[in-house]
Amino acid sequence: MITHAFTHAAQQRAQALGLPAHPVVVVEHPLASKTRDQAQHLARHSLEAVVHGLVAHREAPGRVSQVRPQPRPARASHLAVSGTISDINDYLYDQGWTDGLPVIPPTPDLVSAMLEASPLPAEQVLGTLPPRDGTVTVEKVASNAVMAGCQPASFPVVLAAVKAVLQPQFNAGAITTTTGGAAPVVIVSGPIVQQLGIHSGTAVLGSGHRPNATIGRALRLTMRNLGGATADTMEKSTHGWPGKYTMCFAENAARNPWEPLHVELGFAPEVSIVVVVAARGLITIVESSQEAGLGNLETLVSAMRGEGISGYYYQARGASPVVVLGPEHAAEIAAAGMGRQAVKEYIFQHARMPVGQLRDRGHWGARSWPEAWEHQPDDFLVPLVTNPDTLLVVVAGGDGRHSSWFPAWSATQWAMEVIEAPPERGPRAGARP
Amino acid sequence: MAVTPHVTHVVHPAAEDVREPSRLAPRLATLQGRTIGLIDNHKRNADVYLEELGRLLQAHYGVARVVTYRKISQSLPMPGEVLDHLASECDVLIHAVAD
Repeated sequence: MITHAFTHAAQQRAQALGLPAHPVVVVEHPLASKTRDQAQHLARHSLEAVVHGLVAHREAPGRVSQVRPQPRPARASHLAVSGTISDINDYLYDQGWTDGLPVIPPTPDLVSAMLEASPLPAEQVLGTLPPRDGTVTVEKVASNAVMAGCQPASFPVVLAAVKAVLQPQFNAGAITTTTGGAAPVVIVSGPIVQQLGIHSGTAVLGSGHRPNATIGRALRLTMRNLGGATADTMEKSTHGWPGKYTMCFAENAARNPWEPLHVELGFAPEVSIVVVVAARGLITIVESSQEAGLGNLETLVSAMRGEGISGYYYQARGASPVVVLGPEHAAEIAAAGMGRQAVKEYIFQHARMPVGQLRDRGHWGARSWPEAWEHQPDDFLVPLVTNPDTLLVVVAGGDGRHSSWFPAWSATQWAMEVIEAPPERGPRAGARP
Repeated sequence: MAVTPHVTHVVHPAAEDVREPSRLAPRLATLQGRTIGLIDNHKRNADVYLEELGRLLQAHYGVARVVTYRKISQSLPMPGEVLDHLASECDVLIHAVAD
């Protein structure tokens, strides 16, 4: 049972499951904002259609979809496209394979160059990406990385990010189909940041830095093209946000007053990792009046409260908001004697909303939190997360009195992957073996 | 002189899987005496809609029993073991609602 706004999405998903004739009952959209009486009326109105779907034989006996199953080829097929680079871009756009910006045509030679930097073989299957359940091979990722403008040296980071979003707790299918507009945020930590020049300073979350721009974009194009959620199919974001194009950054190692993020997360200093979270957007705060570290945190946390922040209704999954401290704020917080853990504890204690203020607002009707909170008085303070270690705190950015946070999309958990080294090469780096 | 259009080959960047078609389970001859499973995906009013639907199916179509399962969140997949259990216990399943 769906509302009419989801008709096409339901058909597409049924198709992806190999059940194009799966019965679907459509009612008026939106059900969620109807009164109880109206919702019951819709149930009465749809009763006959529901019964028809259950007892009527929609398919003649023995008849199934006309699509003949074929074994998936181990390697991607090659497509011949005529014309200029502009014509090729038009073709790729018309197929629904781009994000709307121009791409570099993924010619076999460029894809081969990408694969030469791969720690994994071209035909290796990394998993399948919902909702279309496309098989993700290293070669497919390489094709998307070429389109995104990636340099081959960045490819191991792209692969690590793709492997991260394929981890089941990341819930990639729902992230790409939710109305909540979630996008993956890729955070890189470790020596590879300096090796590749992944930007971590001024305008770190803005534009102008090729590794950042293209790694995040390669991940999104891979999710789009193998997962198949596009705006005319199963992508249902009410708004979405520009992170859907790309969002990748690194911790500012030179100005981080604490131990590196990847070390804090349990990895050796010489290891490089990606941490991928799903975020609903980016909120930047200014605090240029307070001089003490605590004052910075107070202002930041005040921007982390609100009835419309979905995390307050959805603690069950353990989604991770990401706090990005500007280096000046971080230095003052550290000077006040607070470590990264103390920052998380502070946010955990103070990013809270009275349950009476949440009631009948936001996602109240779909709340998913500990049962014990159901019986609390109106002044009970609901925390944004149930555990301070669910928070990610990163130091990044340039000079200035600003910090930011990414509200988490709620039905996800972060995913980490070690960035594997590219294969050993001879003296001429990147040369064909 | 005619100009031959320049042809470029590109490596297919999207899914090429061709899903094996599945056959829908046979529809029931009647709902009389059957057990109906209702999956509430936790969206607001999904419970109201399904409760009324279950009541009507029992009142007017002779459904013997209604089993309800509420997902922890609409955004999380059904756990496989829960689905298997419902499939073994129920004759049909109705899942609601988006959105």
